[in-house]
Order: sequence, then structure tokens, then C-alpha cells
Amino acid sequence: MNLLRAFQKQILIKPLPFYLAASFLVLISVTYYSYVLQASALEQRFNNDTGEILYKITPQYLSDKVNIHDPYKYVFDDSIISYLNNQIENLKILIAYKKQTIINNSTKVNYFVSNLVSEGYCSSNVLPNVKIQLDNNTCNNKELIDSGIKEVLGVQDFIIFGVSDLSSFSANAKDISYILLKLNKKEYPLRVVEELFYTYLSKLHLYDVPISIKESYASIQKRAIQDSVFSQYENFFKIAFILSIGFSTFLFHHSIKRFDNLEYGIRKINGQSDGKAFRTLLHRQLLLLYTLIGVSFLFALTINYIIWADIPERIFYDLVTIMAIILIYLIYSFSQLRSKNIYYLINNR
Amino acid sequence: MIKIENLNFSYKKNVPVLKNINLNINAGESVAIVGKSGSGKTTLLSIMAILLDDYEGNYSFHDESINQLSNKERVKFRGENIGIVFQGFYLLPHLTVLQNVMLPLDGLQYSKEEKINLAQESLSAVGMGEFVESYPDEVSGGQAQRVAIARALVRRPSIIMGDEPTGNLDESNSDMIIKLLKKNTNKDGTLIVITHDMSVAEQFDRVIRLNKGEISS
Repeated sequence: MNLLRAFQKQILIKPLPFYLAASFLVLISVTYYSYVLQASALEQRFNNDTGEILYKITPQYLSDKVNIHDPYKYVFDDSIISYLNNQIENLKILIAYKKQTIINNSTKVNYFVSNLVSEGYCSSNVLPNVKIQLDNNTCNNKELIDSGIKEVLGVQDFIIFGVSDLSSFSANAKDISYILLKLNKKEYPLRVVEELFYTYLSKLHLYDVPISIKESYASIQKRAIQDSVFSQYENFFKIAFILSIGFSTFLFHHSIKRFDNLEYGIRKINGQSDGKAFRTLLHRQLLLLYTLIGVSFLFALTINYIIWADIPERIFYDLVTIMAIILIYLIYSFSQLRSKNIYYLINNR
Repeated sequence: MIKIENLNFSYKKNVPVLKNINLNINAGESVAIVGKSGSGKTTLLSIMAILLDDYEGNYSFHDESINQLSNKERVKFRGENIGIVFQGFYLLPHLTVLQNVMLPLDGLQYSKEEKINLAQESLSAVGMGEFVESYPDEVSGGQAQRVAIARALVRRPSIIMGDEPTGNLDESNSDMIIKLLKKNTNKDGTLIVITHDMSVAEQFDRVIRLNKGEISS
């Protein structure tokens, strides 16, 4: 108990380190929270996907879907599409993805590739950097692939996503090493495209991908690295999240319930009016609260800007909710303080 | 000055803490209240210091009935007339010594400079004039209690009440604190101190003994 009291006292004498520590933990938790939120949102979305063709790509949908500012979607911006269209023979890594989004359902892709092969669309030559391999069948003829895709999927215009160094994936020769996406003004079944794409992603572990991304893809590279950092330190973030909740609760609870109650009593006994003593504490607590919230929020905005390029509405509203909860707690605490016997000093020694 | 008649008090129903207390304390008198733990000393002092209400009986101060005062008036009355010193000092750790002593002046019609001067005077009176910028955890227990006394004196109250003000101090500091309290109580002021130390109590004009909530002598 003595140690606890010494700690509590220290919080008031030199509060800055404690508030900074609390802020730091809150910030980490907010960051982690936004990260988990997005990952879970993606998982939820895929889990809910029963395989039916639920979406049709329209220009508007496409515009929404291919939005670099939307962290819930994969990132394809105009520069990538343009690059692909112009340099399809020399494909680079163009994909940033989140580890949590891996889907191991390649049935449809295999079916698709099988069809390509069985229909004779794949033969040799032409496009060394792009090929499809399935068992012993290799398909690297761009024109034939194009035709096959058009035949099987009914897609007229498409973009191929692939890797520049297929030797890196030689161990996965049975897997497809590139994938296609359709992108134009026509309506295509998103499900087909997504499944192919996600299956491709599931085979393509980000950490194994050679980072030979051109400057125009710097932002994607950055995201990929940041995602990998998040994954790598996931346990750290989880622990920080739990510590943050505990530590913040401790700080608020004890500073308000214990010391402020004490201070409230001391101020009143020494002649300050009820309102004056109360306001003094209220101002300080509100200052602390707003500082914590403000710094946390700014940090969250910064992180979101760096990682996700924008502030998702959902996170914004969640943060507002968190603030509201903290505020309610604060109001509750002060209502308790006020209703308590102000002569705490006398009766609680 | 202080007149208490038929005072009864209990924190819980059917568990009386003070029973039929009748007491007169004159202006300029120094009084020690002694008794065992749980005898009701602190409760009696708290009532006299207008820190507790909900008691039965009459309590008047300077012929003014405390019972008739509203909560706001009681706070004002206490601030103007009573200075309190506690065993635990109760200094605010994040305020300097000077700021702690200035606390009772908060909200009064003094300029900031006047408040600082009053607080410095009060600190000087208890020999703590050199510690104005120190924090409570930077001074000794005896010095902290002197600061608490300075805080109690800063509004020049007519009565000083101490709840075991020497309880946390060694003998030499204890004597010094009692002397300071007696020295700094106004000529016509009253000093009421709770103590369990008879050597302390003997230094007062009168000793009131409490036993199980009743005055025994």
C-alpha cells in the first residue's frame, strides 16, 4: 500500500511522465484498435461472401473500389493501372495486401486455369515474364492467355497483375503466378475477379516478394512494409492495448477518486467554497482528459494518414464513441466526488 | 465563545459516538481534549470545526447558533473564524509551500500580491519563511506541520483547532509545534487541540477527558 501511495503521490507531484506514459499507451492502443478494426472488417467481409455474385462492377463502383484512400479495399490507383496498361510485358509487384485477408480458396482459380489449359489456350513462348503454370502445363503466351481469359471469363479488357521474378516462386510452380483483373467501363462479376485475385494473394506471401518496386509504387511499398511491421509486432500491440486500458483506468480512477477527493476536502476545509474547490478540480481533470484525447486523436489521424492515407469514417466515429465513454466516466466520477462526504479527511484517515 | 449543549452524534443508527456533551470554552482559553481511541475526540472537534453536522443538540459560537446557518454560511463562518491543523498535515503535494498557505485566501478580496504577503508573513511566523518555493515532500515532518499551522493562521482566525497536530512528530518537534500554536493564537483567540499525549495536554489551560463519547472530567 505504501508503494501504491508513493506512486499516487508521485503522479501529482510530477505528473508529466505518467501522463506521457498514459498517452503513449493510449496512442498505441488507438493505433492497434484501428488496425484490428480494419483487419476484422476485411475478414468479416470475406467470411460473409458465400460465393454468389453479389456485386456488379459499374463505373461508379469501380471508382469507389479502386480508391487509394479506402483502407478497406485493395489499393489500385490510376498510376498503377496506367503503368500496367503500358508495360504489361514487364510486370512488377503491384500489390499491397494485408496478411489477415488471405483466403485459401483456390478452387475456382484452379477451375479457371484448368479450363485455360484444357481448352488449349496455353502454349509456349511470347511472354517470358508472365506465365501460368498448372501441374506440368505452362502457359506464357500473352495472346493466348488473353484469348483464354476472354473466352472463359467473358472479360474483354483486363489487366494482368504478376511478379517480375517468377523464379522466386518456382517452388510454387503449381500455383498460378500471375492473375488478371478486369477494369473498364463494362460490368463484370466482381466475385470472379476477387476470388482470382485473393487466391493469387494467398499464394504470394508479402515477405517473399522481391522489393523491386519502382518509384511510382513507393506508397504501396510503404504500406506493405508497414503492414508487415504491424503483423510482426502484433503481440506487442495487444499487450500495449491491455496495459493501456489498465493504466489509463488506474490514472483516471486514482487521480479523481483518491487525490481529488482529498484535495477537494482540503480546499473546502481551508475555506474555499464548494463551487470553487469543485471547479479547480474540474478544470484540471478536463485539461488532462482533453490533452489525452487530443493527443491520441492527432496521433490516430497521423497514423491513419501514413498507413491508410485517409481517415476512415468508421474509425472516426469509433474514436468519438471512445471519447464519449471517457467523458461519461469523468462526469460520473465527479458526480460521485460531489455527492461524497466532503469531510473525507476526517472520516477516512 | 463556544457553547455546546446536549450534543449527541452517531455515524450509524444506534451506535452513538458522542453522548450528551455539554461544553463551554472561553475566548483566549487553550484546551486539550484527551481520550482513548474511539472515545469521540475527533468527532467532537469536527463538530466544533463545523466539519460535521447532522448532530442533535445546540452549538453556538460567539453567541451565534451554528444550527441556524445554511451550508454556505457555515463554510464562510468556518473560513473566517476557524483554522484547522491535522495530524496528517494535508498539504497538497503539487503546490509549493507558499501556494498551500495561500489556499485559504482563495476567493477573498485580496490582490495576488497581498495574498503572497499574507502567506509569507504567516510562514515567517512559524519559521518557514525560507521554504516558500519548496514542495511538501521536500520538507521534514515537523516543517510540514509548521506549514500546515501557517495555513491555519493565514486568515487570522479567532480559534485554532488541532486534531492530533503532534501525532506524527517526535518529542522535540512536538514541543515546538505546541509552542508555535500557543504563540500564534491571537491574544483573545482560542486554541483547542486533541491529543493522546498527556505531556502535551499538560501545557494547556484546561484538559477535557472524553470516555466512550462522554466527558468524564
